[in-house]
Amino acid sequence: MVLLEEPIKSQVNLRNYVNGEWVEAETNVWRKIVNPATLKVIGKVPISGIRDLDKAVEAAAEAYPEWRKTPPVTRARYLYRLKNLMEEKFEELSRICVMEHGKVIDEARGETRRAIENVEVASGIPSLMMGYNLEDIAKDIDEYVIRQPLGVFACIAPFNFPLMVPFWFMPYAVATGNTYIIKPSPWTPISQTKIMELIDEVGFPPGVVNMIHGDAEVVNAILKHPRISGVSFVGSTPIGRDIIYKEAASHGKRVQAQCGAKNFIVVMPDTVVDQTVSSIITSFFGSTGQRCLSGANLVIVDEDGYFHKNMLEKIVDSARRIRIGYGLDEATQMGPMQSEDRKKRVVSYIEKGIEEGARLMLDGRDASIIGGYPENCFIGATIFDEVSPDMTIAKDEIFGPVMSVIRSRSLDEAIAMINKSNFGNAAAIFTSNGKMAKKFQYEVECGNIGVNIGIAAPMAFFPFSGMKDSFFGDLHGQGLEAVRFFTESKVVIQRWF
Amino acid sequence: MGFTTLSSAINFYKNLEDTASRFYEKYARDENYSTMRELFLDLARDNIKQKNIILRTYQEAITDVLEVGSALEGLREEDYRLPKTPSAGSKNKDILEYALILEDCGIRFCFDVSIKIRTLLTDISRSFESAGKRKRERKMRVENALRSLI
Repeated sequence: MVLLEEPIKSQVNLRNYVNGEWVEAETNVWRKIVNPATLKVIGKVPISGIRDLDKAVEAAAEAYPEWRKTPPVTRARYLYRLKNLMEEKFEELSRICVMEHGKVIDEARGETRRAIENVEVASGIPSLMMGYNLEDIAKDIDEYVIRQPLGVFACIAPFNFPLMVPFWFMPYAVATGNTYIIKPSPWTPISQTKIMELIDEVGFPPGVVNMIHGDAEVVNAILKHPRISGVSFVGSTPIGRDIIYKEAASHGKRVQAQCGAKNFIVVMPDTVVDQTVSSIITSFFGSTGQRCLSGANLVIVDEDGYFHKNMLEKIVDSARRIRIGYGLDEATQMGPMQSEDRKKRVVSYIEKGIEEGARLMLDGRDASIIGGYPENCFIGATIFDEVSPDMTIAKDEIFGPVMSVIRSRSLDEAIAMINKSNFGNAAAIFTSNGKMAKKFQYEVECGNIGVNIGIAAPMAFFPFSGMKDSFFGDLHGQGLEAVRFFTESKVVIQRWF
Repeated sequence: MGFTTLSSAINFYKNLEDTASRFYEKYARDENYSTMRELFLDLARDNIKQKNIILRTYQEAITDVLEVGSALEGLREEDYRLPKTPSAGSKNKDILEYALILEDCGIRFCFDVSIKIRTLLTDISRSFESAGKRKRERKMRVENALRSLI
């Protein structure tokens, strides 16, 4: 067992970052930040109020005019510097993520890499932000489109990818000339605090990038603030749809709300079994299932039962051997849930599955933890067979390491099952047949499709898609869609006498 | 014990290269082995270079959708353990024979990892394959040096 050194050695009391300075929040309300593997308190985060947000918005609004006039190529150079600093601090950023979230070190490094990748893509803004034109739309009259920033934007970030998710949005926002406010999750705020240290070191003009810690009060204030032009959110569907999207839109803001999921993975009998098993294990149990792209329902397409039995045996055998422990132990393959409450929620779904008659093949409640860590937040891989699509465990987003196995007689039946779901975040098919894969890609109503890919996570130069109850808004995070979200098209018709 | 994560395999590889580099540096600086100095210094530098290439590739290629943990099953640390280094005052021949063991261990590890993760993390697999091929060339240089003693 190789236990990597913890970068957070003593409790950190966090502050907001506003107008290029570290400021104390005007609050007496603090929340503990707990390492879910060790249960040690590693920090305290202030739950800011409206006045704290107002200061950040004011700073961002004041910084906007000058930042907006900064040439895109110059704005990009700030991002190059940020990328360089993130590369220097790559390991420290990754280990902080492990300590506050619980994911294993490889996953945390992958998260850091994706965050950097978004900075790299956004650095191409001089090209990405170009408009288009046509001469002589009428005699001596030209017409062209330019893309312009809008002002102040904000991000309400989730707990599960504390480092990466703000980078689906922020780099594009500031590269296009907007100014920005990040509100990290109060559960996992240290990663972004570290990022703000790098932002500070880069030397962005004060007010261009700000961070406010907080909870519901700050979120509601963001949604209603008259000087915030748009909001990006990642979180659950009830919050995303019923609060974020409705409130922000009713206040005239642009919104992109990337929400919940219940992802189906379809396995055809002609799949390459060993590689498929590996991908499936990662999809369902990686990040302890706390991922909007995680597999949730495994649909094994099988006419006679033999393939189903064979596949399930291999999956259960592989899942049983997952090593559970502290993410900084390099031998650990799966970390804890981010909190005790999240674990309890998963346990309640396991109980529901049993109650509704699904067959429990692997019980994560019995999992053993390597390294002698307290079991409070830990839960192992859980697998149910003989799940029917109308069961609660097949319909609800569990957000934990629970696999529901559903048998299907045909691909058509599997696709119909997927499309019946209210969610539309991701789906995957494992097959060697191109025609089946094309049919799947064509017909499935999900935004992120994997073909022999268990987690269809788009690269930063593609949008992080999503449909139905998994996304509210028009333009997704990352890539060109993010550039469009953070800019408006201004059309100019020009004639010279 | 087996490698259960890519991180553990990378860390093991890093230690292998560092160990090899230290071995070559030690004997390169020892006056008693001056005939091998140039070769050993070159090999020591190359160990660090190869290590940095793999580490950089890993850091750049790692994704948040890693699929490799269970793919490394079957690889065990004990299969790549190095024996004790030669004792003080060993002959050139003994040092070179140990160097062959070092290179061999590195070759096996690099190719074994490369094959295991080939379909799931192609970039890193390719880097390990490249490192393995380079170690074969290194091994030939050590073999030539050993032959020239006879």
